[in-house]
Amino acid sequence: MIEFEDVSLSLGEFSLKNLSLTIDDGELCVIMGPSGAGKTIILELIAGLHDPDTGVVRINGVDVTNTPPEKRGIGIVYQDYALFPHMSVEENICYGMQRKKVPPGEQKSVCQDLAKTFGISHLLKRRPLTLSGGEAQRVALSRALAVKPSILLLDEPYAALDNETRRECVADMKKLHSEGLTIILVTHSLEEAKSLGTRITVVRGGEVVQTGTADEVFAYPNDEATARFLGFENIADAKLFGLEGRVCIRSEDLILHQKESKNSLPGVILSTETRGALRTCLVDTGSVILTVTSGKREGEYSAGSHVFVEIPPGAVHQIGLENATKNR
Amino acid sequence: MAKKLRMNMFLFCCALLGALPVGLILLALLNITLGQLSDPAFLWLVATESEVIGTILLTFFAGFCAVVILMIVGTPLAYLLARSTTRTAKLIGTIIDLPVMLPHTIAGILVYLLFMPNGWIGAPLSAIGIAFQDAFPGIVTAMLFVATPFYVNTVQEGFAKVPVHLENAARTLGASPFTVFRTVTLPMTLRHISSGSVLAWGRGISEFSAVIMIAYYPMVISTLIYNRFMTGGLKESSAVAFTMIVSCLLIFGILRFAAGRIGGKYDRV
Repeated sequence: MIEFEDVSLSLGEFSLKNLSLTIDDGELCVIMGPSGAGKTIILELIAGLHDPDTGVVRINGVDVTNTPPEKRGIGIVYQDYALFPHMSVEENICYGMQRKKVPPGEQKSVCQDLAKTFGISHLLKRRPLTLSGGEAQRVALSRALAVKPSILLLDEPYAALDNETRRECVADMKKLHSEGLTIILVTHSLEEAKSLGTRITVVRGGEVVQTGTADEVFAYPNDEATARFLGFENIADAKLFGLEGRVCIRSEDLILHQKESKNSLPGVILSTETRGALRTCLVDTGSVILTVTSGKREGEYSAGSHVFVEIPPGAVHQIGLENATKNR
Repeated sequence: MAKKLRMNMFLFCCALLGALPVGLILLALLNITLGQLSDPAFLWLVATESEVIGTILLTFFAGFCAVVILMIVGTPLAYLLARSTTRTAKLIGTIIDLPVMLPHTIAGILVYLLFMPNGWIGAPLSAIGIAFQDAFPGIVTAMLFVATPFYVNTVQEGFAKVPVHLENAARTLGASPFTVFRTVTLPMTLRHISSGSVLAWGRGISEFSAVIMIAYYPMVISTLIYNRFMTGGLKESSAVAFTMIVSCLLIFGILRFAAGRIGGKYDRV
């Protein structure tokens, strides 16, 4: 278990304020937030690469605030993998074991086992700079796992990978998690966060703004900025379906109709924009301008068309609703 | 087509202007070479003089000593400067650069004032028998003084190119800060260390004014050439100069080759 108790840290212009956070053993925790939110700093605090100005960091109940990174037993994989360019893949993987004085024979067998698991056996003699992104990722993962860390930290590990490689790498990680490894993953991708995390922690401006299960966080954003970050494009004051106050609705949850239907508002399309296979329309309903995303084929609407926007009851989320997700 | 032509015109102009400095160096070398080769017997006589050979070796060795000292004390300094963003670090960086800006005679005076027999450092050291005035340590000190910025700046640039998170990753894998430096940072900076050393060495052995201020004797090669120019005339001094040119070209050729090999093996950032 990792515990942050009132951890504060200032680094130049960036500052982390009174961070309190608990991550349980065996959890797959996703830390997400916009760029510059302090996600990487949180990982580096866990790893011991920064010393907090105030506060306590505990791992398994032991205060490790003053324990140097080499004694924490925590693996880290950076976005650009941070492989040592002057060493071969094999030397990279064995680096940690050498530091821990593992006998050479054992080093070799551990390295070969890991290489086999991740399908990189044919790369052991290569130099990191000759590897593809996916290969380098697996080498970095093998290197971190070779010293059998109790916690694995992944800093946007999939950002630079193509979709297919990303799927494979995510599968690798899910397997590790199913084997009981505690994994903390940093990302700014909503898709990744939604599909991966057993728990999501949203960080903004050096503060944890929300933490909860993926379903909770995506359904009940704590505040407007979080709602926006989580992809809610429509935010307004409303009195709807028994909810009252600030509410948010995803643009893709709204439905456009040519005729009036249940729970619909009349409006005029202000503009349309095509995003890949989807089309986004701005609809002026008189009281509020709504963003609606629909499939291209669902009717040909153009600017100036009179339409009805259906708001399904399940699509409306109230912002700042006191719920179980807050400061768990 | 027109675009290509325009590009070619631009490159041609660059080449034309660039030919001037290269041409100047080549012309000067050609000039002295032809002059010397017209009287090979005299050149041989001067080049094989024990004083000339001895002076060249002494100069090279003094430069080597300065570089070794720089490697030991300048490398950690360069690392600190590369990793620190504080104002103090910037100030120290500026101080390090001073010897580049100062006229060399001033550098000589500064070194002499400090290391002369009754100078702040010279006095206590002469008490235990280490002399700087007209002595080998004086030569090394003067060379060290003027060569420091060349070494420190080059190596600092190398350290700055090693991403901090590579060091971080190494730490999490169980390496202490010193081990990280030894196994990750230093190997990745070898190319800069070797080229910084070559630069510093070149700067050291070419020093004249700073060296003569503290040590006219034993003569370094620049002093000897100046001395011969004043006593034996142009012919004799250019023969010594030519001998030094050939020795330098040989040594620099070898060093470049060696540095390239070291760099090629390690420096792949």
